[in-house]
Amino acid sequence: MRTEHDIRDAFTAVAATADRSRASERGGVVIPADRPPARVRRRVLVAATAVATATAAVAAPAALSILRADAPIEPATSPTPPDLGDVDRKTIGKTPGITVVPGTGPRTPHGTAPAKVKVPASVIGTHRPATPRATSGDLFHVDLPAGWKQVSSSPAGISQSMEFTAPGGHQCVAKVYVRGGLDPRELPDYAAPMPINGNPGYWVDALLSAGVVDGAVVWRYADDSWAVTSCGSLDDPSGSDPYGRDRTLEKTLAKAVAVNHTR
Amino acid sequence: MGFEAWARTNLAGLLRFATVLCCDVGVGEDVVQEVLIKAHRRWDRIACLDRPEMYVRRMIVNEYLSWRRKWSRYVPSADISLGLVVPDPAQRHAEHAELIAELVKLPPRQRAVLALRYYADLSDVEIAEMLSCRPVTVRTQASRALAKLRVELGAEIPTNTGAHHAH
Repeated sequence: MRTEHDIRDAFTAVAATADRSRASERGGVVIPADRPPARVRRRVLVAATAVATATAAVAAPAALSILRADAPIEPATSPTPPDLGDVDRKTIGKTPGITVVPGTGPRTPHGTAPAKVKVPASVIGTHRPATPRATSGDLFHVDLPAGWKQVSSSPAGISQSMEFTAPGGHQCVAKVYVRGGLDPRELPDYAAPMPINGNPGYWVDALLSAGVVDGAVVWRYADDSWAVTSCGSLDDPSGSDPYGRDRTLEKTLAKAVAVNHTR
Repeated sequence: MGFEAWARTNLAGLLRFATVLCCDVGVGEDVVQEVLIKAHRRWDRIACLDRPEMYVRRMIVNEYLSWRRKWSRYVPSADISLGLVVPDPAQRHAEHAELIAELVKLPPRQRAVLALRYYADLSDVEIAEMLSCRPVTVRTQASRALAKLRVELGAEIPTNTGAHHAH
């Protein structure tokens, strides 16, 4: 006879495998033989990217050392470029993307999240988008609202990012992808509708392929073509709901984005 | 508490949580690793939260569900997970392995709901918040998952198992 209690026991048994695995790794770094090497190296690359872009330069190696070797955490001395090997370079090109730096603005009201709905297949499509073609010219510009200031701009390629400082000190990022540069199927199953300039758009809690882990506006500015805006979101460190946030900044920035190319 | 101290204290629990979600130690480690990298970058803010571990756990859930989409070809098969949990030939372990094999076959969100409910002991409301959906959706997912287990387990499970959660 199986009951819910058995499900608890089963999960507990699965959890115990984590402890056994950790115990077996105490001798040093262990990478399971069935783990694709390219994927491992890609993780290292992401880590190095974090080092290069985050203000806390020791972030990724510290986290890596915790898991992989059960070893003392030692700060990285320099963001040494990793050996790329046969890493999927197209994936890499999309990964570094956005570094979200939280601002120090006003407290974010809780409980204001719009209802999420199933993202319709008519918007995201059902097939992988066409192969993106890198571009060299600026993909977009932003008609900055009053009080906003552009901080930086990345070279265009499959995508282009620009960073801004919003009123109140928030750090925001706008990222525009060329056609096919972002696979909309990576959007969460459920998202809050947030149309941008008449185009279908959504508020998503995370879009990891774009480097967003704490919320962003994602909208389709043309067929198979998407753009993302994200701002520092942990505005209320004392709050109990870190995912409650003001979406005004992202929406304002998204509306100000003017795409130059839609190819 | 600094990130390093916090991570050392909570790492084992996070790994267990991720392993339960993924039903695979390796994938669970990968998910935790990715999340810790991201968490470290903004730790000064996360550390100020009342329950940073809940924030990080939610990041783990998001990462897990995202990985299921991005890395679907690496999703472990039931055989792999089964191999991890049946080194002991005892009857009870065999039963666990069989049930785990059934759990592995569930769609990711359904398994996440069961893991959050039966391992993390979260309420349906808390699960809904973590999965960014409505509580009724959580109940539906749980109901379907339990029903699927019930169907696949055949006569071994009574028809009213899990009924109080399913509605």
